[in-house]
Amino acid sequence: MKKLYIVKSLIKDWFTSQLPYTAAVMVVFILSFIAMFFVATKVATEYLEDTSQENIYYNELAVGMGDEDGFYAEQVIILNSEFYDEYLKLNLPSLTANAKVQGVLQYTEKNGSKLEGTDACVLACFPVFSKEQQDRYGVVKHLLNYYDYEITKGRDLTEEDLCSGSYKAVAPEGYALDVGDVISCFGHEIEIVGLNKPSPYSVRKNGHIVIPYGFADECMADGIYGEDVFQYEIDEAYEYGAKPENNVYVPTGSYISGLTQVHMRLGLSEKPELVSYPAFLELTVNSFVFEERVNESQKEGLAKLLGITVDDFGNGYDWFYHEVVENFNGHVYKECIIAGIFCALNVLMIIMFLSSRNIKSYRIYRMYGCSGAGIFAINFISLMLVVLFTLVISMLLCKPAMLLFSGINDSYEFRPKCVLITSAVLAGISFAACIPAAISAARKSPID
Amino acid sequence: MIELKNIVKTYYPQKSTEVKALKGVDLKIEKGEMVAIMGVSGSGKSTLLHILGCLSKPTDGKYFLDGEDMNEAKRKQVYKIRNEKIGFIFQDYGLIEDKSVLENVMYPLAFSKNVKFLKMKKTAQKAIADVGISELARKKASKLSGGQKQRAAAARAIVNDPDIILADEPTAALDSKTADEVMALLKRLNEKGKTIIVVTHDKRIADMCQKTYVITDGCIKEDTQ
Ligand SMILES: Nc1ncnc2c1ncn2[C@@H]1O[C@H](COP(=O)(O)OP(=O)(O)O)[C@@H](O)[C@H]1O
Ligand SMILES: [Mg+2]
Repeated sequence: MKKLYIVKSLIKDWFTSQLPYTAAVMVVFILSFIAMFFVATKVATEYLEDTSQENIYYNELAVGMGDEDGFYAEQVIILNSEFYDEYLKLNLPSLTANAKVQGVLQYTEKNGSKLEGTDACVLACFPVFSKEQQDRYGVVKHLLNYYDYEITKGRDLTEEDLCSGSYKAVAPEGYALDVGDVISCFGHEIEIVGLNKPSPYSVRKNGHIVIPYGFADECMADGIYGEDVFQYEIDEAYEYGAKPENNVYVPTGSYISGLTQVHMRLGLSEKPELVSYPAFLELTVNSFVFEERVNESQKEGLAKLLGITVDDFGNGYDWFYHEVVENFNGHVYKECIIAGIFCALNVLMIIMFLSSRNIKSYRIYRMYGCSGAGIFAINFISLMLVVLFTLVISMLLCKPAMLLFSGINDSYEFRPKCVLITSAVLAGISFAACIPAAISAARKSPID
Repeated sequence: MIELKNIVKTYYPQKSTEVKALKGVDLKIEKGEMVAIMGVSGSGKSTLLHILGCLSKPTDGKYFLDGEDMNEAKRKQVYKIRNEKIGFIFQDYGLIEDKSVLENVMYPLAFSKNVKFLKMKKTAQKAIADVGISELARKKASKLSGGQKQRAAAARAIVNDPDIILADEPTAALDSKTADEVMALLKRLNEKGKTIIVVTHDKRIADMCQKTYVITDGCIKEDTQ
């Protein structure tokens, strides 16, 4: 009680006669706090994002570590870059003259005026699958990075258009073509009857021109095609043969899109029902990625479904975790450590300073019988009370400070958790700093 | 009763900067005496007073306070003695300038076991009244004149009702009229039974005491003139 009287008296000093110094100390403390809070926010943002990445890759189960190629032929569709072209050629649907194809072409004239510096050529052509074909040629469709389109203006090519021999086309939206335009390509006039864009389910951003196969075929016969143009053939037997027996792998799901040469993304025709799984994030040719960590029983269920053993699962992409994530973490931790040391020194110095303001009083207390431990307690309690008070102010100022620095506000969200973490860290540092300050005060002899 | 036997105080012993401040001081001061300790600057007066006040320990020799060997005393006991048995007055007053007279006088009570928290204020006010500056109790120490400050320091020195008051050049910073007033105050306290030891280099001040000791070059002897 009596010691508290002294503490009260010291604190009163700090906020009356020594106010300018105390205010300066508090400002430094608050600035340290906010700086540290910003670092914490940055770390939290980047570390959390990082954690989700880690989870994705950590939850990837790669199948078939035993096989030379890394795949089990019966269970998954084998696909790699060498295989790719060959597979496509063999599996493209054969097209009749009245089929629609989509692709890229360059034209030499528009609405009667010549376009300088352009050569007419068809750069690439893909079949436009009918609904029925889409189901049947699922693999090919995905390999082609095929996309559905929507008509945004005018109309699609009709059966009549395709058979009439007078060429019509649906141009991709966003280019210099509009409905009614007539372009000239290889000496053929083509009338634009509609505009299209990729359907919202597609990952493609820009569309293809849709033309009758008859036109592409005729130009192809003239031998003007570029090397990239695909030969359209279809071998239904091969297409079906390529499908795995287990229907888990029937790649006709419509929500999967996008293709890389080494990773073909496949959809599931049926959701496996043997065990309950975390949602699939993606399923590639040889690996499964789940949103959440897969537990042992789920692994077992999945292994049973695939006809393999749990040991056949390896963790995919460990390199990502080990190299990228850990590098990144190391980097962030370094920043934090530097900021932490800086703040710790700051706080240590200002607390020493605040403590030193009362040396004369301590001498007098000592002279009149206060013990060293008493001085320690008085000093420590009074410093911690001021620190606590300043901490509360700092906490309240975090959000306004964030708004003030619009750059930080824009890229990072305000996280109350970071305020608490920063408070805890700085409270710890202050606590640690108050101890040497109080010891040094307690060591002062009553006479100088 | 105070008894010093062959007190030696050496600062920085066995170093090139070694200072022998006291070289064997024998001194006996009876309860209720008022003595002056004289000597030129640097002769060791303050050093002696610090030892008497248990603010520092002698390098050698014995100090008995009321028969108790202070060299043997535990730290806790030393703190208790400083708090209850001794009052200090200094040339530079030793007040906390930002605080009121009342607060300054209250501090020793905060470390005393004898006075309850709620009695602190009353006790301090009484001590302030005893030195005759009741009307200044609420004033900040920094706002007082030298004489008033020394009275406030005296009030603080007596607030715990100690037996001994140690005054280190209490009048050195004051003009002679004010100095006389402070000495009169000390004399009055002496009449109330307190042992008063005044360190001074002023013969006039020393003459107001019953006995005078002179320190020369770290050695003390009574001035019998
Ligand atoms: N804390 C100290 N450390 C070192 N030397 C000191 C200390 N205090 C006093 N002295 C030295 O001891 C001698 C006596 O000092 P002091 O007792 O203050 O003399 P006085 O009070 O008579 O002027 C001086 O030479 C002084 O320099
Ligand atoms: Mg002196």
